[in-house]
Amino acid sequence: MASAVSLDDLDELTVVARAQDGDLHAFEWLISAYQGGVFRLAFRMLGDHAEAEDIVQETFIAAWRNLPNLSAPQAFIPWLYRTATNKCFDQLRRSLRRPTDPVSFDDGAAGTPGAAGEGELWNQLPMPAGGPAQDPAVYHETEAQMQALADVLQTVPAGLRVCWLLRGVHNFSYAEIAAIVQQPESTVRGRIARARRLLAEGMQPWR
Amino acid sequence: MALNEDQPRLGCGRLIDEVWASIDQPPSTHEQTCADCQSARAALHHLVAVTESMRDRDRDNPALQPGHRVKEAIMMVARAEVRRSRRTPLATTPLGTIDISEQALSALIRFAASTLPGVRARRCTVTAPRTIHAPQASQATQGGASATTVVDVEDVRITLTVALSSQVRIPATMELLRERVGTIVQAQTSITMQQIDILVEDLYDL
Repeated sequence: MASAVSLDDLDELTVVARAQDGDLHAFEWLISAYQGGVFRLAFRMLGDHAEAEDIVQETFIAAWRNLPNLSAPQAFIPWLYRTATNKCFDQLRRSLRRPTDPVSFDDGAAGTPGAAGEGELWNQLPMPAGGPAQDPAVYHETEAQMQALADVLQTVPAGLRVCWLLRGVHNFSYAEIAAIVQQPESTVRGRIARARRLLAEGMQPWR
Repeated sequence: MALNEDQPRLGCGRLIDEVWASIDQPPSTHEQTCADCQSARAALHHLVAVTESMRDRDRDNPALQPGHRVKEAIMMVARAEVRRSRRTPLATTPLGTIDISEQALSALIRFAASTLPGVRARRCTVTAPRTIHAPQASQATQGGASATTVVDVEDVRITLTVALSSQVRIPATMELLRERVGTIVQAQTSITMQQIDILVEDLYDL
């Protein structure tokens, strides 16, 4: 049944509610709107295009099956990312080809490479020329720097990495991330802080 | 303090997280003179800048999108699993019962509601105080193995949730909406609904 109004003109919660009622057009609209974000999260978690596509496919099929039971339409996006995150972790556990230790998924404190020397490294960071806020190099982005960040990101333990990605790249709030990874907000804050330190340290040669 | 013991400290004794907390503000008096803090601020600013570049680049990069076949595969599964749910008999003919799925009825109701300006239909549930377990109805249904229950056509009640424009007058719109839904469903299916509950769940600005 065609709707009198294009889905593009509706608010998102209305579209989610319709998808919850089994409306295929509404569901297809949601796929178009969110498959990119889910894919990019999975790609940065797994580093593999085909695996990230599999995550998108499995996540949205699970979404279709679970939508009718969702308590409120507002819960859809966190639910979607929680499902994708869990599937990424499953995939990482299956493929033990990652440099990260699988046991360090949830807490980087023990398994974080270089955690012991972190403070020392920070103290050896070279002084930038001029005030940092005025340093044009800070804002000068290059292809190489982005690739370096992507590479360093792969060395950050998965449990920290996902929290950092959800905050820094996908713009979720701490409370939303806590709901997605199902950890207390304080844990999420700690993980993001640790990931940020590791990344800033790893990016040091690229400044 | 015990909680922070595992965190590395800068040479000046501050935590890196403390530097991060004020990264968006101008450097404090201490930060203006402390080499450790200046170095940490520069590193964090750099990380933020590269992160923003990566985020924007990734979002616009056609190579970082799932291929078209991914959506097609998802929709293929969704279509195959469209929830037919319960069925409501519309008429009995010598060949059997003609019925409508609750899902199709809900779609018709949402369509009817959406013909009114300022109304966005959300969820629609068909409540059936006297749901009949009727094996004879499922026998008459094509592929009726899933049609285990039917809704009593004499007693169809629905609950429709809607979002309304903040510009409309709610009582008058509710009245019109009830009438519109009842009329269209009657015209399309010959079902006269016994009860139409409408819940205004949200208001939206045009």
